[in-house]
Amino acid sequence: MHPYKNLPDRAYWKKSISDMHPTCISSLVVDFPNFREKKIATAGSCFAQHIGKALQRKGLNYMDLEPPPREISESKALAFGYLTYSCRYGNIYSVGQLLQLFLEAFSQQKPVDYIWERGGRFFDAMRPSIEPNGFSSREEVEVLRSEHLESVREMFLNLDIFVFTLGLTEGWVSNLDGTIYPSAPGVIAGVFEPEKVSFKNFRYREVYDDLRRFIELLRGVNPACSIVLTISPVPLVATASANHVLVASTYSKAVLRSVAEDITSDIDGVYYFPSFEIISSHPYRAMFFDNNMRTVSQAGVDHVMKLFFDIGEFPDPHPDKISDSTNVTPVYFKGGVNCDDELIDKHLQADL
Amino acid sequence: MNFYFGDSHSGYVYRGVGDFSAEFSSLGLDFSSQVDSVHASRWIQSSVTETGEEINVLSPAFPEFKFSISKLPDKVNYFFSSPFHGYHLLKHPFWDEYRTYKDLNRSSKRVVSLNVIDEFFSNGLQNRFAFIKAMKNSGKKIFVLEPPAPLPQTADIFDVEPVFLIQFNHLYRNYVRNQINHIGANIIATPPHTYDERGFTLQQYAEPPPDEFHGSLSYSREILMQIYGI
Repeated sequence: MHPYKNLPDRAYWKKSISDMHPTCISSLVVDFPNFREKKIATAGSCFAQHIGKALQRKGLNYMDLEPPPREISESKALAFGYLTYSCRYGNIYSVGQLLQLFLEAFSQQKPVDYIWERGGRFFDAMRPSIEPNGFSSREEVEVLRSEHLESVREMFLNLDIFVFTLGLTEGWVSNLDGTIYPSAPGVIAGVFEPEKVSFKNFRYREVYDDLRRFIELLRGVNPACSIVLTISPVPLVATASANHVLVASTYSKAVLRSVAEDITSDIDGVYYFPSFEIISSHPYRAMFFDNNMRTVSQAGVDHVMKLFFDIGEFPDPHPDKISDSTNVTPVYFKGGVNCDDELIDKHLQADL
Repeated sequence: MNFYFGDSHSGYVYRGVGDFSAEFSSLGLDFSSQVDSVHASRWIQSSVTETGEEINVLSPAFPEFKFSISKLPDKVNYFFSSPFHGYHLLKHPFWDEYRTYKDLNRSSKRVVSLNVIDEFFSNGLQNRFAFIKAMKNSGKKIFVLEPPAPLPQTADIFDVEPVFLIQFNHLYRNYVRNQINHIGANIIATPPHTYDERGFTLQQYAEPPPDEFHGSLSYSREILMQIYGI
């Protein structure tokens, strides 16, 4: 007798991996929340957009507190950051960003320098890609941000399940007050001034503490909610860490993966879904990456979401039968995802 | 030589000029008995088609109204009205749900950015600028006549708040002006001295109620003075 006897198949590499075609690997998750009748909200790095879309297509009770006006086209709505997440916050790459969004929504923190300018137009530095041409004035940024934060607050107060995709550990931080920006000044808007912002590569303890604090604060206003953590399998488009981008990317994902595991173990009602492993781990032979070995193919997204829906308890797909809650908008859309960090790539191409 | 097309806002220019029929006939168009009915509601639905080297304008205003832009003479000033016609968007349900950041009193409505409002206008106008684009692309010199500012009675007639009407007018005109400037056409602008500090057309430049939109003969004279100054 030894402790590795009589374990379920998923515990053995040979049975669950070596003898399986990659697309037949299953039982990756042991514990997962029941999604039936639950109000679900999403946020995170750009891979999270796929999850939000799939949840909507499935006809789940997906929260969209800032839906686009019906009068604008779907492609324009996406360009304006609508239909992307449960609120119009754009991509939230780091846990620190998520925490500061929560604090700002509940009036516990306000960034000092959050309006950036480019060519006479004004950008909300906390979500610079939601208005591709920028706003007309500082006042317009302020009013729309204030309204946005009301929606964020409502979302946190009312959601049942929050699906958050952790993306990066690298970020740019204001030297004035420590505000974490989703993109470096100069990439989408603003001017890069080294005396005003600093590069920061968040370490395990910082990410863990930020995530733990966020969950505690969220549970403080919404005690019964569940949280599903995922990690984006998309590697960094570029690193400012001085490391090789592959090494930097591995560090980033390793920290996020470790934090997700520990938080899941330490806090009840927090679950992990292994989208990172499904796309990035070697048994899948990089089959779900595009030729650039970075972006995830539609087949990969579909496979991730198939496994997501296979493990959880979900209602049968009834796209027409969605909650009549005013906070839940049935929206079905296709199309790609908006990634701020890909703008770095565009800048690099332009510089060559 | 000047030629005038479009809606009722070219109508008051028509009243100032007199009879357009000779000019229309020289273009091979016979509007002698119909010029007043070349109205925006049908002009705005006009479409432009290209067949070989010809660019044809089709308008539901008249089933037979079809002419080739490429056959119009070049050394002529063409005056066109109707792109500014936007009151169908004033009473749109969009405004029951959304407001701009400046409209703080309508706080039960969701704020959308001015860019999003431009998209709303863009969808609402669709092919409105096709004729101007086609004229411009074929090398014609085209001027767009801007209608008067909202008349004092317009808010009552449409049953909207005066403040909202002025705000709408400002946003809408800016959008249309930007589109026309982008195309490269010229604008015969509303003279600033024809409206008051709130943005309403002064009484002497407005047609009396129940007219909702149009300038008076005095307004026509102001526009014609600009036209003759070209």
